[in-house]
Amino acid sequence: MSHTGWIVVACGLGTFLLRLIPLWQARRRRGGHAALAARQRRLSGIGPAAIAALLTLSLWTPMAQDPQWTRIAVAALALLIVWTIKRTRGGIALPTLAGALAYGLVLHYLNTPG
Amino acid sequence: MRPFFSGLGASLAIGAGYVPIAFSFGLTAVEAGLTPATTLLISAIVFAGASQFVLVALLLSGASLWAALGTVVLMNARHIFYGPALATHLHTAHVPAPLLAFGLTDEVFATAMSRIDRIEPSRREGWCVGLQLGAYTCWLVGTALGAAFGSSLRHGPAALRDGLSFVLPALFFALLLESNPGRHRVAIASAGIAAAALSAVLPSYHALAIAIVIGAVCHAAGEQR
Repeated sequence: MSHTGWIVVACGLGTFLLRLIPLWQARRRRGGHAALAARQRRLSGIGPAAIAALLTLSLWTPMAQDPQWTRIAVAALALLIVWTIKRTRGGIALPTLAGALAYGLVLHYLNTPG
Repeated sequence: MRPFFSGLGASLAIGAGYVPIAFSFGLTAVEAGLTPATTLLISAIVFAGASQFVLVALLLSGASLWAALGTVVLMNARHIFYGPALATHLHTAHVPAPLLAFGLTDEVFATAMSRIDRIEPSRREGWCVGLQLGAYTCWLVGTALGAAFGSSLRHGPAALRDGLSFVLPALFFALLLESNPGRHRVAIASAGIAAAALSAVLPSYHALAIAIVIGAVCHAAGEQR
């Protein structure tokens, strides 16, 4: 295998072990019902915290690099559409696609001359 | 097999976000000089968004194995939190840990954590495997399309490109609404504020990892009171 191939394999293995070892250890340390409940309470904030941080960075990073009020307003409108469809229809795929579609179309409409 | 297919179905929203990102990865890597085979190998083995783009730059700059490995591992260090959090929701151990761990990306973890409580405990592992396999397949398909046809499609309609750039924020917002935000408002507010503040001074992957820790610690402190 080439040098590049070895680097790719090593990086893949490193990333895989970052995901595997903590999961594997957590499964081995399962313990009784009380221990599991305590661990669940301690770790239950990680999921929502990760989602909130991912949402903030996915919105914040492009806006901070190129701050345009039009884009910010259209993003707010698209999030409102996600919220509305999530409340009325439920699910994840439909609100996501509707929000993305609204963002693309409204931005295109606003940027079209005349 | 039903939980597996249900997980596969739940991966559709992730796939809608993954295909355009993987497409741009395939295009970037091939245009930078990597072969389509190496490009696909990176997506198949590493399967970790932002760090793959950095890995391409490192390979082209002639970085050593240890420099590349150190950078990629540091960028993906936040993934160490995902397994233990997911494990607290899995009450069976029928599926080997490597199968559950391989595809535990940011988006897969976020989707799993927002929806897993609605899945019957005995079906959660199969659902997670379906979710990961669906996301992984979309990632590979997007990479292959980008490597093969990227240069001819890069000047597509602007509305489509803008729309695709907003798939991930829309997905994360939908997942946030799904994750019982009223019960986790301390974690959500502290992680969101920390991510925004830290991203001004740190690379986004470090800001993300630290913000997750801050959100989880604030949540745990609030629960103890």
